[in-house]
Amino acid sequence: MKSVWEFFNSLKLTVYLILAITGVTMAGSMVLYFRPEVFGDMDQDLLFHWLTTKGLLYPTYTWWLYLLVVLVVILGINTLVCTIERLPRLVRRYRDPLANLKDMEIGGDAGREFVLGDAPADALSGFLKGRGYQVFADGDRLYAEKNRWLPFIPYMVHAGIMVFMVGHLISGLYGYRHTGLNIIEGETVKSPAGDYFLRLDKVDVEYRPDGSLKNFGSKLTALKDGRVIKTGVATANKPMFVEGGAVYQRQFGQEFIGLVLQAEVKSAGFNNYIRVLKGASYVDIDNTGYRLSVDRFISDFAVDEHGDPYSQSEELANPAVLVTLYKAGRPRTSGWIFARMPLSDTFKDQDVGLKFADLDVRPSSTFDVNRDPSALLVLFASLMVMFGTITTLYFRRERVWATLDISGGRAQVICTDDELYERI
Amino acid sequence: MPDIELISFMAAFALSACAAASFLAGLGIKKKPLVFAAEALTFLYLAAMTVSLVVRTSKSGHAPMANRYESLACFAWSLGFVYWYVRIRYNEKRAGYFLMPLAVLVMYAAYISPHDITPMYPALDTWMFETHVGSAFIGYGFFGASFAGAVLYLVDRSEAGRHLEKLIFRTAYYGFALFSVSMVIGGIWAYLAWGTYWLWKVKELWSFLIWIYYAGFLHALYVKKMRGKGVAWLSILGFAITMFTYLGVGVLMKSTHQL
Repeated sequence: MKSVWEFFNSLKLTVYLILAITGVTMAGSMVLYFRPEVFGDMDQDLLFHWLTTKGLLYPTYTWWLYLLVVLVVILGINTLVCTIERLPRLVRRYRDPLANLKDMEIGGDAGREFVLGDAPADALSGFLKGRGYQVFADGDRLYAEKNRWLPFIPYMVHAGIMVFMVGHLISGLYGYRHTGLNIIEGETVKSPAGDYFLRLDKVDVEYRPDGSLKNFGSKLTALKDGRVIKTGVATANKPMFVEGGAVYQRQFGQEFIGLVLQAEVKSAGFNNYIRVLKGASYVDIDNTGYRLSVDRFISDFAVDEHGDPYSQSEELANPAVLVTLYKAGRPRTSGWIFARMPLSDTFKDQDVGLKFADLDVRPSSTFDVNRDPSALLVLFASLMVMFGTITTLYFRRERVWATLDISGGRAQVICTDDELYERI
Repeated sequence: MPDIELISFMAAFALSACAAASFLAGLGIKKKPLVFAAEALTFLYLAAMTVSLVVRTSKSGHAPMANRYESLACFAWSLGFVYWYVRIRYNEKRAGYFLMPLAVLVMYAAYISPHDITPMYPALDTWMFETHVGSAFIGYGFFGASFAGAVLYLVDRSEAGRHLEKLIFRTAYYGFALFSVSMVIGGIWAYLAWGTYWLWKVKELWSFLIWIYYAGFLHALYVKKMRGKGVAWLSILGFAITMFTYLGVGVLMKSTHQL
């Protein structure tokens, strides 16, 4: 047991582990880059779910991920053991600063000798205190330190890293990620997570004077059991938090709903617009006894080499609809009506005239709905790491050891701050 | 009306080339006036680049980090900034032997990149993006200074001592701290923008790699056997990883991070 503990209580192990993680990540990044069919959907899933499902299907390409997890876990244990081993020692030294006198030999620096007059201890002590040092004297030996709390900061950083690992583990195990939830303005859909509904009230898109996109967002209402539980806006860098999860605005666009046709029925004196919804089966022409069936819709009409119509893209470049007119339940006329193509409509009827009037499109947004139960924990851990490293940039731990020759008025002084030699 | 941004950029390009040439000339013959000239040119280069970037910021309305040209120009600026930081803080001129030739290469890459001002995509239009990128660039610059110290340590063994070891360590530490800021802010931003603080993408992996590598590097300094030459070589390898992450991944591999 002791040898296992000693194995993990090693700074060398830390360095070798990090070098191993570096190597594995380098190799893995290449596999990840050249095998998008394997790794492309990783971000849409929780890490450990992916590792235990899809990851296992491609061991030749995913081995490095499992190895990386193992190495990171060992590094976490290594960090924990080193912290447990060293932190109490540091606390003891903090409480008993004179124990630091043993460090005098560090670096083999002999220091410099100074003539300080009749009371060398007082003179040196007064000088150091004036420079922000805390001074501790023990007979003919003196120890002083500036920013005594600073050695604890690396432990804060290490603690942050360990908390981060735990947080990342939770993130990889729990929560959910749902992508590509498309909602049309005014529509209410069930959230892919949780038992609430989302209504898209409005899509807001803002452009700069030069026409470039400035911002886009969606006003959303979350409903549960028929009640509004939250209204908010999801926009770039600002998700809407609801029911423990968050709704992220991913894209915006125009969703095609259908076509607006101008219908004229001579026998009934009818002349008005009718809406032909995409996916609808029948449309009644009000009070005329006529009914239209929508047999086919093509967003970008073209004809192939056999003369069959097809859509050459997903864009609404040249929408066309094939309709059949019914009277008293019996088909009467059938034909295509085109929105843009410079072709004559093939729909021809003696009593009923149909012409394309407009596209019925509505704003829509696409959302991701995610939940990361440890996001706050990870944030807290990250801030610990960040503030820890920044703190050590601004503050320096400086130490001074001195051996005093009280009768001779001299002192042999070793400083970690070289500039101090010039100032004593 | 003269294009101050372009004029100052071109002046900075020329100044960086002259500064690098002076540093390299001074390296061989060790003539003080050459090194003095190199330092003066480096100062002027930094001033000209600052003017160019400030003017561009005022023209575009956002920090100059939206496209490849701006990214390279910012990195080139950070190399000049780090040179002067090291010069003042450590009284070390010789970092210029490496930082300024690198600045010339980066300036050239910026020069051949399209200079058009591109609008900031909404998700990028946040202080988090600017902090994320800005701190990473200055961090890269400090890793470059650590690399310079490491090469000096290995080349000039007579100088190999506490001063250079301190330079290698302290600048790597500055780089690590700034890169930590970049990683943390980038993570927070990614969480708010994309719903996850981590993405399994090449650039993210290599950024993690830089961070973990330098974390290991800073620990290696406390392992006696690794001190001296070992640490110097680790610093050189670290900067190679950094440059590959910045330029290699950005140029050779398709990534959501352009550069």
